[in-house]
Amino acid sequence: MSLPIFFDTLIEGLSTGCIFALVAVSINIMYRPSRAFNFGQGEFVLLGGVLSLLFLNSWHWPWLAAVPVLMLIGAALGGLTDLIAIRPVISRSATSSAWVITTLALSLILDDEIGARFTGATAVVPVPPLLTTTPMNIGSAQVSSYQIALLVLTVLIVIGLWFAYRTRHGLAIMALSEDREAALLRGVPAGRLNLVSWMAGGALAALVGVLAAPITQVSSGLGFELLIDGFIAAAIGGIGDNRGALVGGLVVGLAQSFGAVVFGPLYQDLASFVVFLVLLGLRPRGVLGEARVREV
Amino acid sequence: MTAAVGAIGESETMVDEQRILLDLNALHAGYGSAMVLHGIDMTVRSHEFVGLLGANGAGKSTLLRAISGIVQPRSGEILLDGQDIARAKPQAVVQAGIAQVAEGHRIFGKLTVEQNLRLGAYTRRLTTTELAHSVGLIWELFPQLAERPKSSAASLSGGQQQMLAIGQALMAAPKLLLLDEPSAGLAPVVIEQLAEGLRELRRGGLTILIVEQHIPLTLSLADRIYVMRNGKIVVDGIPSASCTDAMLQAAYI
Repeated sequence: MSLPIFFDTLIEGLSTGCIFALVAVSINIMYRPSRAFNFGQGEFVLLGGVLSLLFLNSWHWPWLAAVPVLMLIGAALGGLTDLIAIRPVISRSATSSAWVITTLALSLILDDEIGARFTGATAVVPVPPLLTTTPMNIGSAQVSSYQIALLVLTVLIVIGLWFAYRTRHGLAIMALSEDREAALLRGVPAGRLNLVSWMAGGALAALVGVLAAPITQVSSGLGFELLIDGFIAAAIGGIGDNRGALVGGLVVGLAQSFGAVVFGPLYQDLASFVVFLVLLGLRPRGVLGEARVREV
Repeated sequence: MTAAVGAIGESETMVDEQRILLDLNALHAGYGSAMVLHGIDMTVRSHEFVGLLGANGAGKSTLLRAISGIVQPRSGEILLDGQDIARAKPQAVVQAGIAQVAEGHRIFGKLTVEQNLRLGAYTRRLTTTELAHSVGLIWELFPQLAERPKSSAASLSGGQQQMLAIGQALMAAPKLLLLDEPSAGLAPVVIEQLAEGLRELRRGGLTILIVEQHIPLTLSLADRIYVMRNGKIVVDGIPSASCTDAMLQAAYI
């Protein structure tokens, strides 16, 4: 592999890796207070991407105005999912896994709706002001300012969340995640914190869709792909661990980009699965995850 | 008795001491279709230390969980200062002034000692200064915890975790402290430290309801004892040498 191709593949992998990392983080945010995954998460991201085409291309909104609105839509969707698909399940039994069915059902409905209304139109999506997707030359590498900004933003989000989970409410969510009943006994309002978390996860998912649009093809299969890749990234890093999600996302992104170059584009998904299995085989609890001690 | 002699202040204290803080009336509760509590009547007066004894499966933990709102009662009343909290959610119960230290010292291992304590005060919305002051009171009560505020709670010994759990509950500034088998799994030396801590709290005027299987500990701490068997109260009295045998028999034989 020549040096320029190596760097191109590296940059490409890191960029898509940021997207996977952020999807994984959004999954983690929802998982912590509820111990449930949103099977519709990929659709949320897809919706963000598709709506960004609408807002930015069709309606010509400025980027900085469209993004908060799209995040609000994502938050509303996340909150709605909690109220319809999660809360009724958990209130019956905290250990029930019926949310698999309810969120899966929601994702199928969303996928249908999005697929019916938006055809796979590849359009050039405008990027935030001051940034561009045109690559610049840095040494042997070609990087665009957008890709750099994306990486910086991803890291900032992970750092920001670390601080958020150390506030009063953040600690309460961590407590819910570890031992729900013990947290309830301390007066932690599980329902309210869960709703807020699912809204935040939804908002982040929508943001990811907007961020992904300039560098990926917004097509109907994207939702499912992102769900799988995002989940793999979260699992590699240890479910619930956001720093792990960052590492996991970058690993999956790099595995796919290098896999595509080395083995051919058909094998890029296989590459990420192989890396996933190898890493999980070496460290079952995830790269940064902690061992869970069960007292018998 | 001393209450008959003395200033108005003392008789006011006497009245306050007789005030019923917690009143359970005909409480029925269980899980799904399985009833565990079959009509519990119990009172705890302000500043009292009440013990609840009984064998495994008698329903003691279920009773505490019903009081805390984890288990919704099927029927009956749970009155706190006259207000019925039987249908209240766990958060409302804590805000009303009842804090429970659950069985098995369930602190949050992934958080530090200090974070665990801060979490205990979640319902109080304290300022940073007020929070530091409250945490300071816990350090005084349990100096062992003060030595390692930033340690992860999982790294503490069993006895220290139990102290942390009690400290967490106290951070909610409760009127009534519920303890579910705090001595379980602890060495005798540690149990004695625990007992001393509880006596300290008692002297400070805190009302305490303790559920235990450790009979001598309970008898040494409590003003009054209830004994439960198969979801019912079978004995209700003041611990004394003559009562002990009767209580043991009622509960375990």
